[in-house]
Amino acid sequence: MKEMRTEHEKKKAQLTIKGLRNGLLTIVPEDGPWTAWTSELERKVSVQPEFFRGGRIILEVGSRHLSADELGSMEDLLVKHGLRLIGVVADLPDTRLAASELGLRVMRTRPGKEPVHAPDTAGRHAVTGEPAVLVERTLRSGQWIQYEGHVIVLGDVNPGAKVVAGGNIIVWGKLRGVVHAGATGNEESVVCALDLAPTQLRIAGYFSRAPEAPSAGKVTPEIALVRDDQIIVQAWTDHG
Amino acid sequence: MAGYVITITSGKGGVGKTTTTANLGTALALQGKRVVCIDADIGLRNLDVVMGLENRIVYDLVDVVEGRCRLRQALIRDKRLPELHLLPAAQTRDKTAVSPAEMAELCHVLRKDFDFVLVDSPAGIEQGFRNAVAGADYVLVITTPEISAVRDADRIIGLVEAAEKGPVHLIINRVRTNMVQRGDMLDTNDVIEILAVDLIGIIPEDEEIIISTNRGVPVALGEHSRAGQAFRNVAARILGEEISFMPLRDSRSFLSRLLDRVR
Repeated sequence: MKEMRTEHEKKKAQLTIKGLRNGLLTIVPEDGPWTAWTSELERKVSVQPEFFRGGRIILEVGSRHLSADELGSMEDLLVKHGLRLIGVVADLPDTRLAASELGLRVMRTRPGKEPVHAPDTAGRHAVTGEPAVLVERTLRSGQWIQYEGHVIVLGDVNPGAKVVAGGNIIVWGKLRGVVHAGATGNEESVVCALDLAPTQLRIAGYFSRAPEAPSAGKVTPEIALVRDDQIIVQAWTDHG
Repeated sequence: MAGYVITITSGKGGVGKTTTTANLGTALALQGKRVVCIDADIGLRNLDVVMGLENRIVYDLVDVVEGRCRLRQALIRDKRLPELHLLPAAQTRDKTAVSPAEMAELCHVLRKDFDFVLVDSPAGIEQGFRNAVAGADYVLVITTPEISAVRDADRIIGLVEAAEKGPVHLIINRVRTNMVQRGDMLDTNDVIEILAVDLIGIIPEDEEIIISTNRGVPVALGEHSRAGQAFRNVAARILGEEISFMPLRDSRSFLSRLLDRVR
């Protein structure tokens, strides 16, 4: 009975393994239980051990929601068969975060694949947006976000957490960790926070550190930007 | 009615995970609950020593998982409290001897027979930690009022959330009242502000802990220790009682403190 059900699932979706320049891309279908696909992968790997041994696996999981535990057990399984998990391609921020927890490289699109642009259906009067990612949670120590566009955090960025953005970084909460805005070189980038007290703040090639003695007094929203070749901090309301 | 699996963890070592596990287990058993404490620190086992049961170990957790004995055979009944049990760790193996799935299964089997399954996690964020939280319904994170311990607690809470375990509750251990009053130690609010989780216990620094650890008699058994009272309060809160946190200041009269010293 159990055997039949797996057969049925296989008809709908299949675990695909493709050779890429830098590793084996393993595409896990979005439906069906995760454990079914891990055992399917294990089955494939053990059927052809000599083909897989020493291989580097890039896991593509689409919009599947995965915990660090689930990814970790997949990694354990691959290691058991002499394979290495080198990266994860995932759509959901939670899954991406879980992967980065495990120290895995996180990719938004599969290597070598062009990002798909949404067709321009908005009217010509629509404001053109820029790519941004919204993080609706507090980033705790050891967690980090890296994104080529803007990053908006609804929550705190705790000490030991890190945000790296190609564009601006906006923290609707307390910013205590390390941030790097304009990481690809854009000096126009800014960092804003309701409580701006980062361990370290970088904009493009500029660098600033938190003052050794934290300033007392009322906390106000602030913005950090580059002016006259240095990072300055001013009240958020002064901007624009 | 199946029991609850509570994992006690911290990230940083030496902040009091094992002491907390032994004392919570004791305090819950004093309330008549059936409790089993699992030492998940394979290779560096300590819980048996703190509970004073080291010389009774025949089989351990790894023996159970690898099928060398039945679960019942490995459970050690406490010498004072008949409701309290210990499942010791193996000392001659390491964390990889058990998988997260096996730990989760073990917790699942034990919760059928016990009201509380307390899992004492090893320090660190590697497989030992993943094993310890695998079967958890609740996670108790222990920290001390020090920046380094709070940072590690934050890291652990992030990992627990990413693993979709929890809810997480916080115990702040080894609080020195006089230092907090002088402003030389982080106070409870400073810790809560960073970690943003629910507080379930504040344990004062207490020399009795060292004595009790060496003797293998948890402080929660005695009447005189302030830390013991604080652990009993945590147990009562776990059982759903509303108990206010102990005043941090030693509010007893000079005479009663003097009497304490005479005792």
